[in-house]
Amino acid sequence: MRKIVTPGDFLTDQRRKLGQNVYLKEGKVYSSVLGILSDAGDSISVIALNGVYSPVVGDIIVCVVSSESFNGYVLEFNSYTDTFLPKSLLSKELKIGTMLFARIKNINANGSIELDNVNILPKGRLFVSSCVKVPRLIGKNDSMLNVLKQHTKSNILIGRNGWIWYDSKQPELLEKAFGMIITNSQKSNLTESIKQFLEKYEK
Amino acid sequence: MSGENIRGDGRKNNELRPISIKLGVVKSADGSCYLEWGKNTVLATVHGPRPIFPKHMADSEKAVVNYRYRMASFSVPERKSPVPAKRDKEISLVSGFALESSIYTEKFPNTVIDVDTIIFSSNAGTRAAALTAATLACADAGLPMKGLISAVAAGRANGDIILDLTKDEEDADDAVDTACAVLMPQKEIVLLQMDGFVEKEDWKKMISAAMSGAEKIYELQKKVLLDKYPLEGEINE
Repeated sequence: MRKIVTPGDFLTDQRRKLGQNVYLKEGKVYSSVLGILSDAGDSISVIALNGVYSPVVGDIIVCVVSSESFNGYVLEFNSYTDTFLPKSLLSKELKIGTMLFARIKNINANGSIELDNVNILPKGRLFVSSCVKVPRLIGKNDSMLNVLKQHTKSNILIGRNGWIWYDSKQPELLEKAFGMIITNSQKSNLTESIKQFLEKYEK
Repeated sequence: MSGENIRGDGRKNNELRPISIKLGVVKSADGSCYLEWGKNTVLATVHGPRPIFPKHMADSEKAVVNYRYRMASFSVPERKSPVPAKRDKEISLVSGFALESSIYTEKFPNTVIDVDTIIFSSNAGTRAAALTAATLACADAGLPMKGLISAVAAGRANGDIILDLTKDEEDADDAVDTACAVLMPQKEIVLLQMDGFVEKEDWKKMISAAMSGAEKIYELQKKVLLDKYPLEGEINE
């Protein structure tokens, strides 16, 4: 049985590994966000239902060039901070608005991030979602992603930051499916419903 | 405090005015809340955490909480100048401190969290209404928080200790008005302001009245947050 908790809700007073979005006070564990309680095995955590992306080393993110300076580019990636990409990492010039995907190599003490494996994405569109919806957009063993790709004949790349690059034959249908997943992300049996929806409108 | 006496608007001494809350009303904001509390109406929006400008305002260890309390010029019977007065600035400052104490700001260094609360209609107790709405907007935006802030006013009018004063009661001859914001469920007082003179015994009664009011508001706030995400139900297009 899944349960939604609000900030400050008491979760447990047993010794547990603390996962994300929980805090410990006087030996008791409390939730720190509005989210779904995930109490599996020896760790306890809360899956947030909204929020900004906090960079984690190793994440693959989709980012967009927002401005250029003489030695590099400023990239936006749906977080509370921007990142700087030096031109020495790239073999060709970029335009403002170009979409990239990259891996987070390192996070400095002041919160700025370093990227590696930077790749320029081909022509496509950007869908803006939230990082907390990414697990539902991908599904267990890529189940949701495969359903979306098959039924709308698209190429999709989901960044861990919640931005999605796609190139589709049916962009309107795909965007509608994304919207459905986002607004119903707390409900169960989502992949099956999306599959039925797409089969209904598929050309 | 006896709960039996009936007040001017038909409420008991320890009864709140009717409250109705809607979340997510402003799509362009990260989190928002519209609250109606008796004749008070408040809209609270949260933007951020986002990069701070000018850059010298940034704190490299935590996010800056920029709380704005503003009354619309049509919110009071006589037109109020839209220029922020001393009262607006003071309430913004102290409410900002109260809200900041509930948010884990150290997770977002060099950023700002903009919290705007606008009073559309005012009938006493607006700073409590604004804080109650602002904390819900923060939770709606997914900010990591220690708990929710439940704010309410308690006071004395015509010799009775009462909860949640209206403007008429605030204008009584012996009126005392205490705005009290409580971090729930820890029950820590984060904002406490008072107008008027009061005896120690009455003061204790007022605080316990405010605490019981805050608990009722906290239950309501939790219900509103849980109702936004129904676990069951049809997956609609």
